[in-house]
Amino acid sequence: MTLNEISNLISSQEYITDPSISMSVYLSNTLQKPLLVEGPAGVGKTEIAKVLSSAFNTELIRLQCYEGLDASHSLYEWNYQRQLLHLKIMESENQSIDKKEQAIFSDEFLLKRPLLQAILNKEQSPVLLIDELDRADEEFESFLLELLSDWQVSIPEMGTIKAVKIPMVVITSNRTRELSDALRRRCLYLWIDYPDLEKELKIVMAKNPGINQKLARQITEFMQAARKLRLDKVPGTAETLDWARALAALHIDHLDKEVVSQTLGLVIKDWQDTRHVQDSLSELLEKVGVTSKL
Amino acid sequence: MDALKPGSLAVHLVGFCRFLRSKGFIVGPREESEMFQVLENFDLNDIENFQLALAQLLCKSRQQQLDFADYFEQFWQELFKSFNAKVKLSSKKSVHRKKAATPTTAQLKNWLHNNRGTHTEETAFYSGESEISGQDLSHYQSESVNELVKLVNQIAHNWQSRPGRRKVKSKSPGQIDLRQVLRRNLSTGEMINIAFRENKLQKPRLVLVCDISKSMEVFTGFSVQLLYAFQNSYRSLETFMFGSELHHVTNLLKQQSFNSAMQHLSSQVPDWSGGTRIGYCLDRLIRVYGSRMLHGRVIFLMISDGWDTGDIELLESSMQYINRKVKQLIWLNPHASKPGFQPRVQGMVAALPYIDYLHGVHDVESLKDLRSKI
Repeated sequence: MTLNEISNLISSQEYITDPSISMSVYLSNTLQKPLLVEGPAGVGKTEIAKVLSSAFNTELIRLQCYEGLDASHSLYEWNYQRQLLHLKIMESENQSIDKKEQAIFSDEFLLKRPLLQAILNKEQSPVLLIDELDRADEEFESFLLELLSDWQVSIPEMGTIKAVKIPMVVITSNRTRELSDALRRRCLYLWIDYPDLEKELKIVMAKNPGINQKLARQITEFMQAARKLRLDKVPGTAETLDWARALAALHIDHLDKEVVSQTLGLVIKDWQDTRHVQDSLSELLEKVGVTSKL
Repeated sequence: MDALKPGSLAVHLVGFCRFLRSKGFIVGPREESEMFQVLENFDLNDIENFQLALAQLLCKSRQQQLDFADYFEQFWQELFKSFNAKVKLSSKKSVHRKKAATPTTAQLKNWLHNNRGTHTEETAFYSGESEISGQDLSHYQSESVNELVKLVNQIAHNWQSRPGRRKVKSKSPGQIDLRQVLRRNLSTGEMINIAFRENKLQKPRLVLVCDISKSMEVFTGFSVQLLYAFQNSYRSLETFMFGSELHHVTNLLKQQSFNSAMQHLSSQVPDWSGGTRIGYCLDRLIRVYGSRMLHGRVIFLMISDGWDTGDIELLESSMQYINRKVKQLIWLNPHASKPGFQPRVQGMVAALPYIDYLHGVHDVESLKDLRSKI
């Protein structure tokens, strides 16, 4: 696929792309390399994987990372209860240990977790989303290296399993900690920042086709101004879209102080931030061209 | 690109990769081969796409992406100049601000040397200019760094307290490890030999912020060693230095040798022995790194004497914010170990209500004292 084809494919999924996103996806697709996406929360990192899955009409396999995530939760686990039962049943049979071992460490007792599912997919390359990798421990990151470079995993009881179709891998990180250089080397890097005014407006219009254009502009201008405040949890595009959707559902066609105060909870998710924004509300509204009558 | 002779582009691209490597980019043979694989299908007259493709292929971090435009322009302009050809590169301006003139390693060494052991008058001032003037790095050889590493390890050991979610083998009875039980008892078929597991203990994350301004000049040699010791013995750590500007130095300190780390610091941190804006720098830290680095699992370690001529209100509000966000805020003031020390400088006074623990650290002995108390 060419760069233009990729760009059109992404755009067709109502995802407002830019040259760096299209280029990264193109390169990732051409080189069959994972795409490491970093950026603040709520700017559409996870959405890229969803869009790719939808655009290529393939399965999306998601691995949500968290502290303590290990191979048994991400790659495979043996169904121990069934294995124990099976061993009990086999007690009466006079079988050798090798035979017993072969029987209980077979495909029948294997619980396939997202990573194994992704490389065993025989029909079409799935999209594997490894979400918020920075939340997992460094040990898990090291464990991923074999998979990401050689597309194979080792299961001691079964040997090495190679990927049937190389999955399209999207790794996201909110940078709560730095990922290792070894992992970075195996990936293409994409940084997604908060969108500028025009891009955010396009996103709001694309995701809410029926929204009043004036309201959409006011919302995006307000969000751009709010991001410049010192906030604990800076609102991302996801919050902009939630807010736009809510205001459109309430049939509101313009912003005013009352509307903003009543719906601020959709945008600001921290009580100190809420106080801060409320204190600066008149100033923020002035920036978007709304003069307060209150 | 037209100015280049056919066949020579590959050579220059390899040269560009080497140039990037010298700037700290992770560009090896694999990246080079991928670059050629991709560029085969590219229209090389389209400079913007060419540059974008190289950036996406060769950058592995946000900082590298910010620096890339400068390096790209620098390399190809120099190359085209040497070819004596008129080639107009994209006039797109670099987003990365120009760095202030940085001192050389020799200057830094000279500065560290001259000031070792001398006690300069504490002066608080803000100046955009930095100067290089005291203490010798060569006096602080690896032996003393090694001693610091040991001490830091002992301090860090005390912080190892919180059980994480990762499981490890355990000798004491607790949660049964089914996997191990099955493996151990496969030969008998009886579940006699039971294995246990428990939650692995986790160390808190550290954010270390060190003042390198003029008033801290006397202690800079020790501070830099301490930072290096922390960076190379503690796993989850982010390190910053500040004077009148804030500098993220985590990667600069992660070097095989102390001298190499110093070389990187001297070439890339321009702020040695300049003015002090603690409030401004903490505010920058909160704005740029706060959302990802300041949270309830973090111990915030500040090394400063508190001399500040910047915005004191900003310092106070920043300290209040950090105190609210992190698990513990420890301030290491080199003067605090002096008998009769009173926190009188305005920066220290403003920060004091938000400090969980104030301690004097200016040499190995005071660090031992910290180890016993923390």
